[in-house]
Amino acid sequence: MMIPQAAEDQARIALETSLCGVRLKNPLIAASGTFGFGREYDELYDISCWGAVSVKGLTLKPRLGNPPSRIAETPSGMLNSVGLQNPGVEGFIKEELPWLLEKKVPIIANVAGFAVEDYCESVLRLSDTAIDILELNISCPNVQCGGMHFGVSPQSASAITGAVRKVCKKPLMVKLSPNVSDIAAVAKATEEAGADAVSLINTLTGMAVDTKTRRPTLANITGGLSGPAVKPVALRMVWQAASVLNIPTVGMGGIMTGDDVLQFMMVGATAVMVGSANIFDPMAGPRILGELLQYADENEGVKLSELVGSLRTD
Amino acid sequence: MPYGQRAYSAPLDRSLILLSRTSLASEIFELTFQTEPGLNLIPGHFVHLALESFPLRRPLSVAGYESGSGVLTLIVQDVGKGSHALCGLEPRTCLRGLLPLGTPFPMERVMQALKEGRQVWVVGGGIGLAPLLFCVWKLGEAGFSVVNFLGFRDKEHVFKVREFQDCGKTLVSIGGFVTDLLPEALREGSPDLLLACGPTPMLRALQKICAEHKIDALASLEERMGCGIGACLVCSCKVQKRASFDYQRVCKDGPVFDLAEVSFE
Ligand SMILES: Cc1cc2nc3c(=O)[nH]c(=O)nc-3n(C[C@H](O)[C@H](O)[C@H](O)COP(=O)(O)O)c2cc1C
Ligand code: FES
Repeated sequence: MMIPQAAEDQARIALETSLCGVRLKNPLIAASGTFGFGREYDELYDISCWGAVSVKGLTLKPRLGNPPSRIAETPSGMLNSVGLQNPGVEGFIKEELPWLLEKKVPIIANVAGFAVEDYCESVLRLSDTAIDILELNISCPNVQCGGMHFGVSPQSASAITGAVRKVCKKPLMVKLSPNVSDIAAVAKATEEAGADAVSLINTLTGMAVDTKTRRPTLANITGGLSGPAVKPVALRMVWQAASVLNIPTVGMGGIMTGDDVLQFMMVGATAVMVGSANIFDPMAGPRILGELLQYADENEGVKLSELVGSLRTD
Repeated sequence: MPYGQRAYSAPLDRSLILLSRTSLASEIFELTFQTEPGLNLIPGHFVHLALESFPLRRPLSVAGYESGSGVLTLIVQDVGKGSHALCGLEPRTCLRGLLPLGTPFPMERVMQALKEGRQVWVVGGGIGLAPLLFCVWKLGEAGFSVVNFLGFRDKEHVFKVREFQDCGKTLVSIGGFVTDLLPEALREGSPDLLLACGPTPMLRALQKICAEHKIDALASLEERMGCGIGACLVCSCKVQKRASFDYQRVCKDGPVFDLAEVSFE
């Protein structure tokens, strides 16, 4: 029988990993936009159980976001059209960051923008704070000219990554859009422009119609699709990106269980993000962590970090 | 908060066992669940109910709760796919529900007003009566009475009128607009506080009447939700703040808002 301390050490060793030089106690990261700044979930459980937390997408100036309705249920998923409602970079630094720092969980600042200049100004300002990783969101489908146009071609992705790289003093992770024809080319372009990691996928552009009213369900007409519905697409894209990159890939899209996490790691994800699962099940974080611990327990001596890219295709 | 302090109680994902399902009227069901006793559930609170094979949870106003036994009452209208599945559940089915959620009606302030001899009116339409039912239950239990104005689409959709009558004079509108009952009542004097819940056209009309007669009104709003706890920002409603407006979270800052501040467009 294992003594508790030894069991704890083993679980720690099995799950721990690192991303851009930041130590993560497990590969689970709360995905941007589904977790706010962590306060609400912290009323349900201690959010420092996450490997890291990626905060709601920040823009230089506060934004109100899109008019309601902003959500639609879809088969095995959901559409959202929040449109980057956020308190702005300064609001985040003053109102949210001090509290989040006390939680002692690595913090990923997700930054969105409308022009190269405001991305750079936001990143410059956040570089002077205690955040751990900067996540450059060039993939939000819900605001006009809101980032996604930077993410759709290798050229534009390279240009914005290069410009931000010059002013960014933190590890730089670029969040990629799945709304592209060649994800590997976009991923490679950001690596060559100086990214330290990539994360993918953001939501897939979609829509829903209410036949009773003949209106789109979302006031914004289109929105971003997430949840288990997108997982096969996400896995394929993470696999394609990771195959051509020398920098780490963070995978996401429809993760609901510990087994989903293992799948993303096997196709090449160093760590994973969990988004809509938090919305569907507020206890998803601790639950999935428990499932990974159980996997580690059943496979004595396993280290999740050794599973990264271990997919067999022969 | 414009109306006194926020009632706080930590939400938790709890199990709810369906005890009974009763048809109250056409398409309208009363469901009772066994949950934990002793919860601090206040009228206006809602539960975010998980349904098998539906990704999103469904927010439902608490229509009643007996603290001693832990029996929770919800009133559900069988309209969408999710509510249809809910209305078809067999007793003993176990569900997960996050509760208590939201900023409820400020019951202490309501009771204080009544204690001071002031008048409180309750105005509701259709399924919007659910949270108001819990209000009048609590107020009646404490020995207070209010004046109720209830609106129903037609006589097949009438429910729970007796429960409202137990808490005071009750005027019912069937087929018309419940707000059409107000002008006459207002000729005899206006209330100091009004509690409301119902469809948007009703709330919009009510907002106008309350502005004209300078009546403080609190309304419980409905919006489609995601997380239900204030993190995902999909449930926003437009709230007027002097010259500008702001989007607030119906699930966390609401569902109860100062009616005068809500912007209906
Ligand atoms: C309501 C909602 C809001 C989101 N907001 C952001 C955001 O601000 N920034 C961002 O990079 N991604 C945002 N996303 C995308 C998620 O971070 C994630 O990439 C996507 O939902 C796929 O993962 P999932 O299937 O686990 O949700 C949002 C997703 C949802 C559902
Ligand atoms: S439903 Fe998520 S913030 Fe209200």
